[in-house]
This record gives sequence, C-alpha cells and structure tokens, in this order.
Amino acid sequence: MAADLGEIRRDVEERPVEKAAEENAGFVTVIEVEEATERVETVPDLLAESVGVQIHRTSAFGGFSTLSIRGSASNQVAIYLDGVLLNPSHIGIVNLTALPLESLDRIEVYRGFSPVYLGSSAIGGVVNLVTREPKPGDLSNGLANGLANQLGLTYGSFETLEVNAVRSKANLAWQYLVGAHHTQSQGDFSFLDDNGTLFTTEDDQEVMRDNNDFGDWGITLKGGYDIARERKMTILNDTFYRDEGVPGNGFGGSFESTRLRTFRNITHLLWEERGLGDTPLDLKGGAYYLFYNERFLDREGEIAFVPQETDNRIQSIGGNLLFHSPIGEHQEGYLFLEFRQEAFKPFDEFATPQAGPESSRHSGVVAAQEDLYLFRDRLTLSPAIRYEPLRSDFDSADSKTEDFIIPYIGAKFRWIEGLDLRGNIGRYFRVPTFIELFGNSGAILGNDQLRPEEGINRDVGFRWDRPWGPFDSFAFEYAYFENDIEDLIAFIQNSQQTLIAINIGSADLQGHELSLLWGLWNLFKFSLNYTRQEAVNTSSSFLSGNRLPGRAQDEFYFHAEAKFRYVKPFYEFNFIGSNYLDEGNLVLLKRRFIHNMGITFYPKIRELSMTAEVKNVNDEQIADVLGFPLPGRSYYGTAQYKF
Amino acid sequence: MRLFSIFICGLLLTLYNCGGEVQIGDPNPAPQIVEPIALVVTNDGGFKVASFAWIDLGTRQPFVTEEVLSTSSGDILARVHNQTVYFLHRCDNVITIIDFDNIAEPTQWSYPKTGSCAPDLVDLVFTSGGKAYASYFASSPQESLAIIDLETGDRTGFIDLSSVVDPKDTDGRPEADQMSVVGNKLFLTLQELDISDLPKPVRPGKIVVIDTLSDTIETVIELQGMNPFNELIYDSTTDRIYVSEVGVWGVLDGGIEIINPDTLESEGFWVTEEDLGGDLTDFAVVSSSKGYALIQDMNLNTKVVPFSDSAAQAPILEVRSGEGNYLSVIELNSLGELYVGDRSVRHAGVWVINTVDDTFLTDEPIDVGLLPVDIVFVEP
Repeated sequence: MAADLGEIRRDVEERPVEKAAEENAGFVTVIEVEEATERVETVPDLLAESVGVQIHRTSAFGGFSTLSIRGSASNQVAIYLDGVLLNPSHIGIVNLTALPLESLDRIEVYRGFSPVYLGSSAIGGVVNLVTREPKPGDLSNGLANGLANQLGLTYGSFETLEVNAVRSKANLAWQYLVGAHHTQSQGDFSFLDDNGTLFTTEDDQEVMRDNNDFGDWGITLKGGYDIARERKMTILNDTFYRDEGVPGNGFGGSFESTRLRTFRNITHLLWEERGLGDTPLDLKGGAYYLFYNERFLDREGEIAFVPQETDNRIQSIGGNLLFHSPIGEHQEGYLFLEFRQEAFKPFDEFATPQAGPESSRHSGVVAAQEDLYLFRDRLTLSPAIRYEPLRSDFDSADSKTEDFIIPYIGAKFRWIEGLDLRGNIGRYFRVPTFIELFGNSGAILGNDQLRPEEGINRDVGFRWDRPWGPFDSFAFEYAYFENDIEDLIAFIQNSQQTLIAINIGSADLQGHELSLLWGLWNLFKFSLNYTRQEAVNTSSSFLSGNRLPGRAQDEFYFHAEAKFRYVKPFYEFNFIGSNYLDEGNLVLLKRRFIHNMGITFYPKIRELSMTAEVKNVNDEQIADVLGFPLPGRSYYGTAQYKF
Repeated sequence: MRLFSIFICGLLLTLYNCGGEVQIGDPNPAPQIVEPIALVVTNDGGFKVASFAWIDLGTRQPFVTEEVLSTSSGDILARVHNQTVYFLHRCDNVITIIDFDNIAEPTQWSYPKTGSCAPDLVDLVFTSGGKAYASYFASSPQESLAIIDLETGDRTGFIDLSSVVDPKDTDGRPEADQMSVVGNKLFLTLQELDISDLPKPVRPGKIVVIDTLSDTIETVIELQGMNPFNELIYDSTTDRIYVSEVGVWGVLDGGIEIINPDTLESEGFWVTEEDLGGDLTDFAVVSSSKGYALIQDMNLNTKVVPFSDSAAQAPILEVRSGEGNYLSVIELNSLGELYVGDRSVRHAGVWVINTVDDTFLTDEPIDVGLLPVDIVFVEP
C-alpha cells in the first residue's frame, strides 16, 4: 500500500505539466522559502535578495512594499499566486507584504522571458508565488503517514510579533495543508525629521514614526485528491486581511488617523491530467474567484482637506487550460487558453453619489509555445506567441476594445555540461489601468485614447551550475539586458484642478546582472549578486536624458552562513546605490549600506530552531528609494518547531 | 579560493568606505544679480521637488539654479519684498527667504503642520513696519490669518476670523486666500467653499478689511461673484483692487470684480468669464481699460486673452490640454511685458509678450529647467 501511494504521488508530482522554472530559456531566480521561515522575513525581504530586483518600501518590517525588476515600474511587473494574477486592474500594483510566506514553497522571479502558461505578458517581468504541496515527509521527521506540523513565533523591535502555524498531511490519495499567520507591529521607530527645511537644522528633531502600525491575519487552505493514477484535483483558498496606518512620509508631521484596510480572498480549483485518452497530451486546468476589498479611511481630511472613506471592491473570475504534449522526440508544445473578467466597484462615504461608476475588464489569452531540442538536445529554441484581446468598460457608457499580438523567443544552448548560454527577445505590453483610462470622477480625468505601454525586451548571458573544485555547489550567472519602452503612461496636471494620464514618453533600461552561489564542504553557503542598471528617460520632454527616479544604479547583495550541527551563524550585506528621488534629477538619495546578522540554534529537541538576529547592525539612518524613512537597528528573535 | 576571498573582502571594504551623504542636486553657482529679473519657481510634473530659475529682463537670458527648495512638496509660490524673495511652501508650511545680496545663504522658517497639505500657506503680504501677514486656506477661523515678525520669522499672533464665517458654512472654515495691503488696510479674500464634497463655492465670496495698525477687523465687503481664487491685485495707477473670481469650475459665472479701497465697496465686474470664454485662473492689469486674463475653457484648453473694458479679444496664446499642455501663470512687469508660464510637457518654459502690440518677444518658451509654477519680478 505504501508503495502504491508513492507511485501515485510520484506520477502526479514528479512529472508536472509545466517545466521547472530553471529549465526555461529565460533568466529566472527561484527562491526556496522553507529555511527563510526560521527567521523574520517577508516576501519583499526575500525578493530583495534576488538579482535584478529592487524593493520600494514605505516603512519598516511589514510596511507597504512594491518591486521593480530591471528598472521597470511596479505596475509593469505581474504577480501571480499559483497562477492567479493578483495585480488589480484599477491601479495595477500589488502590496508584497500582503502575501503569505509560511504557505509558500518557492518564489519564481522571471526577469524577462516568462513561460506561456503564466497568463498575460508583463513588460517588467513576472513573479510567481508557488504554495506548498503537501507531500509525504513534508516538514516531517519522516513519519510514514506524512503528517507534519510547524509552529513559529517571532518577537522583536517596535513591538513586532508574528505567529504562524502550518499543518500538512498526505494520506492515501488525498493531501491537505493548512497555514495560518498573524503579524503585527507598531513600527514606531525614531528618525530625524527635518520639518521640510533643507537649509536649516535648527528645527530638526528626532521623532517617533507615528500611525505606522499594522496587523494582518491570513489563512491558507489547500487540499488535493488523486482521483486516479494520472489525475489530480486541487483546491486552494487563501484569505488575507490587513489593517495599517498611513503615516505619509513623516517629514513635518505624520498623518495621525488615516488608515488602510484590505481584504483578499482567492479560491482556486485546479485539475491535472496526464495522458488524456491514452495520448501523450497532458492537461492542467483551473478556475478561480478573487475578491479584493480596500477601505481607505481619512475622516479628518488629513490627506486632501476633504474627508474620505472609500470602500472599493474588486471581483475577478477566470479560468485557464494548459495543454502540453511532446511532439516527436525533439519537440514539446504548449497551448494556453485563459479567460478573465474583473469588475471594480468604487464607493465613497462622503461623495455624492456614494457609489461611483463601475469599471470592468474582459480579457483573454491564447498562447502557444514550442520547445525545439536541436543538436542532440543541446540547443533549445522556445518560440512563443500570445494573442490577448481585451475590452474595458466604464459605467456602461464608455468602452475600449483592443487586442495584442505578443511574439517572443528564447534560446538556451548547453555548451558543456553545467554551462548554458541563454538569450531572449520579445515584445510586451502593459494595458492602462482603470484609473488611467477612466479617471476617478474627481480630480483625475479619464483618457480613453491612452495607448498601452509597449516594450521590446532582450537579454543574453550564461549560467554555470555545477560543483566545481572544492565547492560542493556552484552556480554563476551573468546576464546583460536591454529594454526599450515606448508610450510610458504618467499622470500630468493639465489644468488648475485636474490630472490626466497621458502617454508621455519612453525609457531605455539596460544593465548587467551577476549572481553567484556556492557551497563549501557542505558547511558554508555563500550567495552574492550585483545589478548595475541605467534607466533613462528618452521622451521628448523636459525630462529627456534624466535617470528615472527610484532606480538605484547599483545594488549589491551578499549572504554567508555556516551550518554546524547545533548552530548556524549568518551575515548579510546589502548595498543600494544612490538614486534620484525626482524626475528632474535634483535630489539624490544617499547610498545605503545595510548589514544584518544573526545566529540560529538547533537544540537537541527534534526540529526546534531558535534564531536571534539584528537588522541594520550599523544603525544607518536611511530612507527608501521613495524617500520614506526606514528604521535603524532592530532586533528580532524567532522560534520554530516542526513536528 | 584565497584570491576570490580577497576580492570579496576588498570589494566590501571599498564599498563601505565609499559611503556618501545626501546630495541635493549640485546647484549651479549663482552670478551676482545686477539687473531686474523675473524669478520663476519651478517644479517637476509630480509636484514633489521644487527649484527656481531667473530671467534677466534686459537680455531675457535664463539662469537655472538647480537649487532645491523642497523634496517633499513642489507646490511653492513666491513673493517679493525689499529685493528679498519669500518662497511659500504651501504644503510644508515653510517660508524660505533668499536675499539677492546673499543668495548662497537662504533662511527658512517652519511652522506646525496639521495635515498632508494643511494648514496650506497661500499668501504673504508685507507692511512697512517690519510685519507680514500669512493666510492659510485650510485652517480654523482662529488660525487662518497669522502675523509674522519679519526679523525673526516668529508668528506673533493670529487675527481671529470667527466673526466673519457664515453661520451656514458647513465646514466652519473661511478658506482664506489672497491678500493685498493698501495704506494701513489689509484686504483678505475668503473663498466661501464647501470642501466636504469637492471644493465648491456655496455663496458669494468676501473681502475682510483689517486695520494693520491695530490688527482688528474693520469691515467685510460682500462680493458679487463667488470663489475669489488666485489673485487680489492693487493697482496704484487706477487706485482700485481687482479680484479674480472663478465661481464654479466649468461654469461661466465668474470674472474680475473691482473694489474701491476708499469706499470699501464693490464697483461690479470689469469683465466676466462669459466675456472671456472660460474659467478665470489668473489675470494682469495694464490700465483701467486693458488687461489680460488666463482662462481655461470648457475643454480645459488654456489661453491668454487680452481684453479692453468688457470686450475680450482673440487669444494671443493657446495650448491644448491633451498631452499635458497647460499655461499656469501670467505676470506683468514694469516694462509692460507679460510673462506667461507654460507647463506643457514637451515645450515647457516662459513666454514673453509685449503688451503694447501683443507681439511675442520670444520665439519659443524660455527654458527654466523644470515646469514653471509662479513668477515674480525682482528689481535690485
């Protein structure tokens, strides 16, 4: 019986429909999450360690964060949770801290070429968060019934508290995983407030960051059932709620009562089948429902004089099918079909009328990719093409229909065992958000003549992944990228009292990415990555030739750890080069040097780990790329128990 | 391995020892100013960072300072007194003072904020006695009008406007705006808006008249039009105060109203928005019969419209609002030249127009670095 269980599970899980991320022709970073849960980490913390990725934070641990890949804007990066697109159509950006970490298995960062089955194209790249699969022995001590539990507790500076629990079980033909977490923090760190005066320090004072607290709760439920040898059904439900203060940048005073509350629920049903009708055709299909509610409360009119209490709701339903089949001995084909419908319903307690006009978007994807294996399978060519029709509607009165054809191709050549040369080129789009197209019935006017942002992305480089010399693991990757983006959308004031989104210009993004991972004597692990990028405004405007704001030219990350039997010390260093705060390139935020260090203990109590860590060891008074103050030195302790 | 370790250590040490401080641009060294100039406040399109430039009135050559006035809010206005420029940081509630005899050492005065852009410092006027008045748009009636000591920058007191707030006012704020000093009288406009549901005027505006010697309210002038927004100009030649009133945005119900500072009465509209063909956003007075209006038509196109008495002429400068085009400000100097700020993204700068014959003295806008927000003239 145990052997049969193993065979069933192996068929479904060891031969997935999609390729492993690293097997794609593009440059991808896969971040394994499991060990990260021993420490105080969030999704943006892990992403910040990836080459080519820059995180934009507005606060300390747990604060609102977005990301940029290869100098892109945040709304140009698509974020998926198990293949469900999280970017809402009304604003296009995702708060990375509103994503569950303890339920994740890995995070895939596609910097450029992304596989056809990751839905719509994205100029800036794709981040795919993959939840854990309950497996025999997952989180376990080898129990035959595959039951595994994990409890975690973190406490630290600024009254930060995190508790999480995961239970996973795999039995007979079914499996389930339940994960829950709660995180809270006051975020009340001190920083130097210059009171908005750049020419005098007489009014500068150390103040505490106010109204910077947050609390969030999340629960992830995942169940799977092996219907037959080659057939599996999975259902996932992820629920998240967050209540946070909105302090503003804090200089000259913080907002004292403004709050943001978000709720998200995703229900996703998946079906996988191998060998449809005794053919080599594999199928993976899914249907999902996403509900997102965002409440913004500013009853005192701190932000715009006028009290605001908005209660915006987004509902999205969609479904997709992925077909995969080998075609002869040297080809594989993928066909991906997706339909998605999203509706945005705004509501403002203080507006007349309270319910604002609704926006909706219907979109589809028909995409095909072929993997050709040539020259004794040493060369892989992956041409792909997407067709994406979509229609955006506003208040049943205004409508915009458009479609896109998106070709791209990737190539991977295995020069010698362990060394791949890679190159990719493709055309990508970012469709305008609802607010860009239709405005907000207030100070932001709509512009239904907006064209989508369009980019030609290309990269070339190599990856070496093979033990070498004294290193039991060694991976070295280099990539040069160059992206040309046209028809960038920006909000511009076009009258005394209104803003409008226009296709203002273009940008050139180019740079180098270098990453190195190596292990020594099965004891030491090191990782290092460096990104050098130039992000330049090339539009025919007064900003022509300026560097894009918020994009540091240089970023360097280094991590070292040594895993002994009972203890694992670790050290991290992050250097973020200077970046301009403004489009006019007048304000240069200083370079940031951040050192983190800590130690994890493994006492002789089954799978218990205890970690003590210090972040920003040298207490640098720093600001994020957007100019928001970040905390100095902070201390955290984490205990995790697996049983 | 050893060499690689040395490389990594060296790289780390180099990086650590090469830390830098915050750089606020790299201001261009300012030349000594000897000629009259137009000082132009500029900001980036996102209203985040502000700077300034100036234009020599004789040669019309610009000098872009790249001096950063603010990194948190680019909404800054300028006022001039005794060859000194006072920059009003509206949202930061800060005043930056630059004496053109000592440009390299600005002074700054900061005052408490009560919100993102509150109390919203909107104007500053000066008396001969070393005193200034600051008005705040988004403040309580008790703190909408402050008295400032020009030697120290201290706010020595407030003039309570509670008695002039209409009892029917829903938000309880007077929405104090522009000011002008004529003799020993301070004239202050109140916009009379209901800002609980997008700022909109609910009743005709007012001008509060204050005795600058006793800092007490003398009287209140009831205006005929609504929403006195943007300018309150005293013209010594005509001995009249001119008030721009935009009324409801998108409705042609405003105009330029004339106030007699001696009788303290309104003499009615000089020219209306209906005459001009759009919402009035700024204006300049040439004489008792001629002026220029900056208007925004119903399609949000902005135009400079000359008018004589109540008759508007054809616009002499117009920009279409699509693609972010927008004229922001007009100001008239003592040479009879009209300076026009153009924030159009693809051709931003300052136009100069001869008001004698409405001809352009520049073929294209004078480049002032960023986008022009406000213009004042300084005559050393």
